[in-house]
Amino acid sequence: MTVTQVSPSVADAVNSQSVVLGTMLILCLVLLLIFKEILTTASANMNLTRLSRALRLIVTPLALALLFTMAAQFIRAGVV
Amino acid sequence: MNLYAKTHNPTPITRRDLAFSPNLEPWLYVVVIAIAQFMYIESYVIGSAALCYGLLVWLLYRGCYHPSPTQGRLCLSLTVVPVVRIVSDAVLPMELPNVWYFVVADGILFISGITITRVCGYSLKNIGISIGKHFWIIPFIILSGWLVGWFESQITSRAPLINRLTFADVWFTAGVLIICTGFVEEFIFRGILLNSSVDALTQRWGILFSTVVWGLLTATWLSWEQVLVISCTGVLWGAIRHYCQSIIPLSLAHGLANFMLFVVFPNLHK
Repeated sequence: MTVTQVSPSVADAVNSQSVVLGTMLILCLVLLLIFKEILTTASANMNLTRLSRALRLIVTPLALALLFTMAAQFIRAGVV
Repeated sequence: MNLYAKTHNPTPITRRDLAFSPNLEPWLYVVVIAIAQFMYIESYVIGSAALCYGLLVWLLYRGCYHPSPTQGRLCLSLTVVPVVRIVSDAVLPMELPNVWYFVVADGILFISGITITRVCGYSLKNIGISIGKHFWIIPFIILSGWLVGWFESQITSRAPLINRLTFADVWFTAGVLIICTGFVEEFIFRGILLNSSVDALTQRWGILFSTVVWGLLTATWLSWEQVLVISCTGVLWGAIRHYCQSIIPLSLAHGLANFMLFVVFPNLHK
């Protein structure tokens, strides 16, 4: 009864696509960070500030997820 | 960091803002989540991930620009749903041993939950981190965790998290399951999401909404019977959360259910 655990067959599918998923994660994170920088520089509007701050909400877990994805790839490649 | 406290002069609601009916919009997100989950369990992992990223960005945008603060908070609270999928997909390939997977994945979700709480401006009492009231019901709540664990173990068979039931291993695993899966998931679903959905919808629909979202996220174990059991549990625990005004006993019950499911019953059935 936990939302993070998946069945073995789904886990296999995720593992086989981990490189693509990692790339998607990097792209999303980079786009969000660029977006955040653009918004931070143009924060005269209240709504833009709100969006800029809320982006932190997403960037933090995604950055951590990316860290673990990259660590997993390094472990698989035998670097670590 | 409360984004809504500074909205002194809200912009008037325009016709464009009402493109979605406020009560219908959250349910449309549930449909998108259901599609993403269906794709995921059918092993269309990339398509599901793309849908999750799209939903994440849309919810973020909608949460910030929604004319209604309560609906906006609900959208921001819902961002945790695609984050759950993204985080579990990121941590899975590491093949972490035993309970360490829960420590890492739920740890990231906890950080996400804290950020959402701050952005939405919720207090600890709002999200149920308080002593609460009606203490007489606490033993029954914890007992419900044992029952849920037993029901689930009858439906799905899982490999035990620990094979040697030593004192140290059992206590460590129990602690991790209560804190990481129990407390963090209750904090997110019965704390943040239930609170924002009750504010945005009504109490009854709010409990149902958060339950459906929670149930859909647990569908990844490929058992619809399990989803049904979890959905019934969600309705019960959602009602209890409102009655007790606290998620602490529910966290214990959730942790106990997982302890029974992952440790006790798999070892008994060996």
